[in-house]
Amino acid sequence: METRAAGQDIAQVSAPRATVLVVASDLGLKLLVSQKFRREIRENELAFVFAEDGGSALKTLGRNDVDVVVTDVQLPGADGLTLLFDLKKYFPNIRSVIISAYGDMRTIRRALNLGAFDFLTKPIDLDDLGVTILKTVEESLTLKHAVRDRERLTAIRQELDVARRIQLSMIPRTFPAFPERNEFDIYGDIKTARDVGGDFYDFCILEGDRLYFAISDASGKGVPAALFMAVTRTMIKADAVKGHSPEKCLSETNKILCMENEFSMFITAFCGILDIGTGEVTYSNGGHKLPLLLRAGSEIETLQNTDGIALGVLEGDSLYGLGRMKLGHGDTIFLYSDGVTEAVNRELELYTDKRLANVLSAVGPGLPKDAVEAVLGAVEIFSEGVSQTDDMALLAIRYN
Amino acid sequence: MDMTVINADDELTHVKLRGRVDLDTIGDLDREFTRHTVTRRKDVIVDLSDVDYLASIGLRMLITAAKALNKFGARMVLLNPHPDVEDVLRTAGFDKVMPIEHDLESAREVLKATA
Repeated sequence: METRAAGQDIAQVSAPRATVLVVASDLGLKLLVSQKFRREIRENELAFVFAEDGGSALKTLGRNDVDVVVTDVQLPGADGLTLLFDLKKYFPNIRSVIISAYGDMRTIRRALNLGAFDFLTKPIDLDDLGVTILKTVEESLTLKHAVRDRERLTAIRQELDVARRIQLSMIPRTFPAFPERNEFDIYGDIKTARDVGGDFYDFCILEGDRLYFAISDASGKGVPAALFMAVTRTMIKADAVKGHSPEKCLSETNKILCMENEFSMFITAFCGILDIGTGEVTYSNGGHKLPLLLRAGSEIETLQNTDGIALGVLEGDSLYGLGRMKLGHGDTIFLYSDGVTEAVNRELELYTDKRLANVLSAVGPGLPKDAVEAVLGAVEIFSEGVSQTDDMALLAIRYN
Repeated sequence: MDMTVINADDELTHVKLRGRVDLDTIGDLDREFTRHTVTRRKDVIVDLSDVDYLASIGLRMLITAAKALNKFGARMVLLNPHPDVEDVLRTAGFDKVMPIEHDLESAREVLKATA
């Protein structure tokens, strides 16, 4: 019962659905509207505020959230038409109704030209007053909501733009990345979805002539996903730079991500380290799609999985395993996120692993750039212009 | 996307999800799902046989509920996912937190064994 009483209090102080300012020098109009809209006022549908001349009307407008102004033409000092002029200039979203003498078409026409939405004539007909004010209020609210929706949409777009910028600023996108190195070629690309997911790929040269590389996909969309991705990318890379092996990079990052993760965000990540001198690769997989291996002159293989789970889900010490393989000369390792294989067409069919493998087989062993671009091109044709809801990240490395 | 509670007794909550679970369809499902599963603090079987697609938002809903249940000493088992959906779950390693079973009997047994 106590909660209900509190709720009623809140209802009484909450804003009315719409507020109407009535501007007239005599009390008559004030009495008329108070009488006509007794029910609406009681139910907090409408609130009325009053002013006696144009100057105090403008002051009232500055203080209150007014939706509709009803003004008499005859006012002390500047007349109602001047007030309409000021309204148009300073409060363009407020709808107004002018009250003039019966048959004064000239004034009415001027008022409508000055932007009045409707008019009433004296002596005032009570029903006409009711209908005119309610109609003007609805028109005003429709306009107000349209403006608010547009502002919200702009805010959402701006937020997504921020997310996209965070994401892209984290990803190396200058190619060739290492023009002075001819032992390997590397190429990556990312297509951010409409809602911006949290995909990234990353790479850098480590001490001891080794190439660190990673690909990852954060759950969720927008700024939260982008931030989660940014933190993860930096932590894994920092561990790699420190000299940790791939499974240690994932397990250390996982520990920190699990510490404060009340929203249960998670992120899949695959990271590997290539010994540039020998072609040996060590890697670890935290729940990510397994990379593909394009060996010169043979079928496409999927890399062997390691122990692992998406990061941020489970706490524990030995969750991530270490995998080893060796790249021969001319072999390419191809990393991607599920936005590629789960891209949809108009029939909501998925692109699938199989289609991806087919494209890569057709391209054959070549430059990483050709493989990445061929896949992106094929997905674009497949998806028939459907805007995708998930990011696509791709990274390919060929050992020369 | 919708959810049906098939059974809710003293030992078990058995629910079934249907359709695509992604950002566009999840709507109130997240809250409803939590209300019918976590709040009861009983073991949960989630029938996924009619789920065509599970996006990461759906994975998150399941994993959040499973982890919350674990805190109360209860577990969640996933029943009969579509092969593509199962692949997504296993790739992410989520079967370590939520075992995947293909018939109701084995799902119940997994829950009994870990009780």
